[in-house]
Amino acid sequence: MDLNVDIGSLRLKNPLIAASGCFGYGVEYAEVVNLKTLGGIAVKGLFLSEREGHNPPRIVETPAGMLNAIGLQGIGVHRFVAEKLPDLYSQGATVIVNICGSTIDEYVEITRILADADGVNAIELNISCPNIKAGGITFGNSAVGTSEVVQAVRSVTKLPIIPKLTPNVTDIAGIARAAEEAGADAVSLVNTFLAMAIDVETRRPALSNGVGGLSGPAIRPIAVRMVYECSQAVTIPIIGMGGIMTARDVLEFIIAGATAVQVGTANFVNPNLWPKLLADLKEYLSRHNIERVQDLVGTLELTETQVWNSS
Amino acid sequence: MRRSSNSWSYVGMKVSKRDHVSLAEGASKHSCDITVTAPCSSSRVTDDAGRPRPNRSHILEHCEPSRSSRYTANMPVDVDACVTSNVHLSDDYNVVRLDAPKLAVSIQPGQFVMIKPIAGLEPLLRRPFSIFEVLTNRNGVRTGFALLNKRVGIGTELLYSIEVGHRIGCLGPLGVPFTVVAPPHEAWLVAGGVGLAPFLTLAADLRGHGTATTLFYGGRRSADLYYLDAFTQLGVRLVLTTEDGSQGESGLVTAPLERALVASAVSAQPTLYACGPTPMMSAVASLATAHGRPCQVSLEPIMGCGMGGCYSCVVPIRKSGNDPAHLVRACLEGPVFDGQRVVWDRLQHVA
Ligand SMILES: Cc1cc2nc3c(=O)[nH]c(=O)nc-3n(C[C@H](O)[C@H](O)[C@H](O)COP(=O)(O)OP(=O)(O)OC[C@H]3O[C@@H](n4cnc5c(N)ncnc54)[C@H](O)[C@@H]3O)c2cc1C
Ligand SMILES: Cc1cc2nc3c(=O)[nH]c(=O)nc-3n(C[C@H](O)[C@H](O)[C@H](O)COP(=O)(O)O)c2cc1C
Ligand code: FES
Repeated sequence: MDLNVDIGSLRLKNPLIAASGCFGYGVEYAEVVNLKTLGGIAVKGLFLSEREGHNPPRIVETPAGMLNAIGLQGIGVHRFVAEKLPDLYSQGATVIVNICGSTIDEYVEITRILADADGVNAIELNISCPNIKAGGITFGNSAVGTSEVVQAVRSVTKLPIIPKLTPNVTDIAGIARAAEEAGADAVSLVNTFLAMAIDVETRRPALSNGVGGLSGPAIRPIAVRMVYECSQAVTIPIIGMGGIMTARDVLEFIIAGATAVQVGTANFVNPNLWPKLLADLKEYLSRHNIERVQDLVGTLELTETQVWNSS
Repeated sequence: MRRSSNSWSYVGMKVSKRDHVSLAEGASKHSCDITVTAPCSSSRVTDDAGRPRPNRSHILEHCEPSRSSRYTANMPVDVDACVTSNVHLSDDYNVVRLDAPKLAVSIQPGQFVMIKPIAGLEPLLRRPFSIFEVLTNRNGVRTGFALLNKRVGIGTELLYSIEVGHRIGCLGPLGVPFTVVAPPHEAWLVAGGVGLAPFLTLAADLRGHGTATTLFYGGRRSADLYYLDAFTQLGVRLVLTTEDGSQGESGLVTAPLERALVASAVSAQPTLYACGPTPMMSAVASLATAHGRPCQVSLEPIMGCGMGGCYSCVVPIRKSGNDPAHLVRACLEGPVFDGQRVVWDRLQHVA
């Protein structure tokens, strides 16, 4: 059985990737997860320099999900390369570095540093974090902004570039198309949905930042629809995510058109969910006589009345 | 090792008829009918200046490298632990015992577990709990652990009403443990409310090393002070306070603590350990500073994962002196911190 999937020039052992911000820098999980068995690890979003993030409370649970407003606390790209990357590399992990910038120059500068380091397999452009005021999302909110960041980064690296799209837009397929035209190797989606929870006793927001991003099973049907929508609009691979808890959920994304998937919030519930996800995925493939997981991508069966196209 | 022939859960507590049924069922289904709190043999003794750190400098971000190699972390495991008893201590508090030999093996005092009381999406995330007791069989082999639970919301409510035979997902042991002091140093434990939770295992370990140990324990009223006999049996001296004066001294636990610090001066050389409401821990830490005594506190921020994955649990810690605070992950670099390094006025009061 062939579980390999291709994201541009990068071949993943299997389609299961740990989602950014939900798996630390990967090394935190080395005691419970065999890192090299994952298709990839998208590490916590990195700016050029260290960042403190928001004050607590940073998370709150909501029905079948959670809101977070971490505010991209992080050690910055230099410390990442010096302190975390060698360890990930020596453990055989496939590393996708999630990067954020306040300006296009910052994205470019971080990419240059990563392109020179050993052990970086791909770059995921975080242009979709709902929790910071400047940068990132201001690019991801428009096709023009997305295109500018992707082109600028493209000009300085041959590493696969994967812009990560926000669902907080009216036309996500249009943004995916802009990313493809600007030279992206793949797109990943979705980041979290901008959301709010209120403590009715105090009449204050539950999070110190006021608003946060919704993740977990609550968002899965919307994420699946968005992956399907984008798969109709682009030919580059799609990395789908949003509320995956089980292999059934992984399959839903793959059938909708995702070549690979990321798992975020579910790590918090069950940090070693990977062996079971993989085993159940294999079981499905063999039950359906599918030799290569890539053959399942975008195989949604539709009747005439079910055909739907957003644009 | 100290061993009691009775399960401590029976000592000095209101045990309802229903609880007796649960315990009987638990005992017949499981072999751990004799349970004691075992000294945590794997912990190490250091003097009062030292604090152990996991040998995981690459995952910690603000620890001092010189300390990071002094203690090798035990590997957390994820187990489905069977509930062997659920004893209600009051309308809010209960003690849940769990069969979990693999997890129990390497527990050190001050460490915690992330538990999932019920499968499914509501609640979705695990909840952090201190390890209240390490349970052993008659041969001294560790068979599981107990949790002291206080009902405050959806997850703790589920744990309050959990039935014997139910399985609970438990991930642990996690976090940096307390440093256990040895004679001639004394240990003074300061607990408020459910902050008692990490102190039974700590007291057992301290007493195993022969360290003179005092528990300063405060509650709202007499009925809120639990497990006193268990501490007494370990040879722990008790100093009790209640806000309504129904047992011990009337008022806050920091009052007798302060008097004791003033009186003890040179001879006792106490190390303070505090767990409870944030204002209490903050007060204990400043008393410790004022009297030049070391103080370890166990913080309880909201935690999403317990593994260092989400950055939800950060607390403001300074490296030393008047350094600026860094927000560090309490699940990895804590929950036990040097009280003098916590920047108390920035710490959220979540309780
Ligand atoms: C390291 C550590 C050890 C702990 N040990 C124990 C223990 O031994 N026994 C025990 O009873 N509790 C302990 N707690 C606190 C316990 O984790 C919380 O009370 C619990 O997570 C609340 O879950 P819930 O679903 O009942 O509350 P929710 O329904 O999620 O929330 C109800 C209320 O509780 C508050 N809350 C949520 N998380 C926490 C928290 N971490 N601390 C305080 N309040 C919180 C919420 O803000 C809200 O106001 C510990 C916490 C930590 C971090
Ligand atoms: C606590 C938390 C932190 C996150 N941090 C990042 C981040 O740094 N960069 C990023 O691109 N996405 C981040 N995300 C979004 C996730 O990678 C993912 O897109 C989203 O959570 C949906 O997937 P899920 O439902 O499986 O969690 C974060 C999500 C959570 C819950
Ligand atoms: S609880 Fe997730 S990082 Fe500490």
